[in-house]
Amino acid sequence: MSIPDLTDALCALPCFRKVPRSAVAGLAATCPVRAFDTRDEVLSQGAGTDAAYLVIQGMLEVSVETRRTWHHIATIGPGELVGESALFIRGVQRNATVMAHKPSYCLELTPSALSTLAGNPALAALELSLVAALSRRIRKTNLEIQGAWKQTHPDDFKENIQSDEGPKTFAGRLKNMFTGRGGDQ
Amino acid sequence: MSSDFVQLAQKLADAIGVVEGAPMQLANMFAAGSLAEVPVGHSLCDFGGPSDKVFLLVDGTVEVFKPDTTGVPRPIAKIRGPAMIGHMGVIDGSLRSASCKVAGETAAMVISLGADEFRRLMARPDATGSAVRHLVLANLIRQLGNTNITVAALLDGMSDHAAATETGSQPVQDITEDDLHLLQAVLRGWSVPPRG
Repeated sequence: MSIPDLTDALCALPCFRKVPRSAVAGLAATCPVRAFDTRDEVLSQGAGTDAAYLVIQGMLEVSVETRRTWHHIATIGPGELVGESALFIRGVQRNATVMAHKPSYCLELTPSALSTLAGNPALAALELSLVAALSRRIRKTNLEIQGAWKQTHPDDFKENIQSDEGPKTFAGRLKNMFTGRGGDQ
Repeated sequence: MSSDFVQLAQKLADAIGVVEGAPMQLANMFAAGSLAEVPVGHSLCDFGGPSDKVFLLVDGTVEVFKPDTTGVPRPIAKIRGPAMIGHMGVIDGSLRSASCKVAGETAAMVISLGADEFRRLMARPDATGSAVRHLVLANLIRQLGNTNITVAALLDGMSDHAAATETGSQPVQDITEDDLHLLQAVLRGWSVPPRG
């Protein structure tokens, strides 16, 4: 992918729509693009590499192995980032494996690229978008935890809790939430 | 720029484990706030109130209280400085999800930073903005990572029992309300996973 083509593709992502094209071009010129075929491994659980990937085109899937069983956790599409922990926290190990769900192009970001790009409005926009995404994920997780507690302890609440078909224990619901499983197994 | 603020910025970045701490730039965030000694027992923020400030706990201890299911405030975590408190509500615009009071034997040294000023710093495209964003991002990523660790610890050893409980072959034994509060404290960045 040439720099102008890459810049066009990046400018189309929601997080860069209000950023000057010259700033996005600076990002495109600093960070390499990686191409992944379907089933290619992007990140490996337990590895200590320091790169994160912004999906430009295609789709990635995130899975976690616990007790020799793989659990699908999430699907990552254009404009979303995977492996961001390594950009901002020292000494992290990958806690999930990421594979290409279909042929994908990703922008590779590293801590040294972030240092080089400090002051670039495109990078600032990407980081602010990540702050918003993480904050939404924390809020959603908190609401799901509260909801799981209400479902399993309806007598503790004055309001009428409409029960669903989920597991009867809070532990069972947590397991579903955090391993993506469809029910207690 | 006060060298105290630079040292404090370095301590806070180290405590969170930020890759690029940039203490000189991060110190600008401390300088933008107002430093005060807060006596033991005084509140920094109250459950349900507006999220109009971020607190940088320089020194001392803050205890976090959250209402239980009956509405009675319960202590759920203790935060020791240096730490950033109250950023979640400012970022997502929600009301305070807990109350924070100074605890321990001595007064706490706290820098208060207005929500608008915090958001302005975070949106700056320069090196100061970058340092603030990296600190916030490292905090949020730690919160989510620590939540995963806490859930794994709570579920560890319970899977067989929980499955039996689901089928009705054993009396119900589940994660307790204390564990629920621990989990929420970790998720909101007030606590870290229990060791062992």
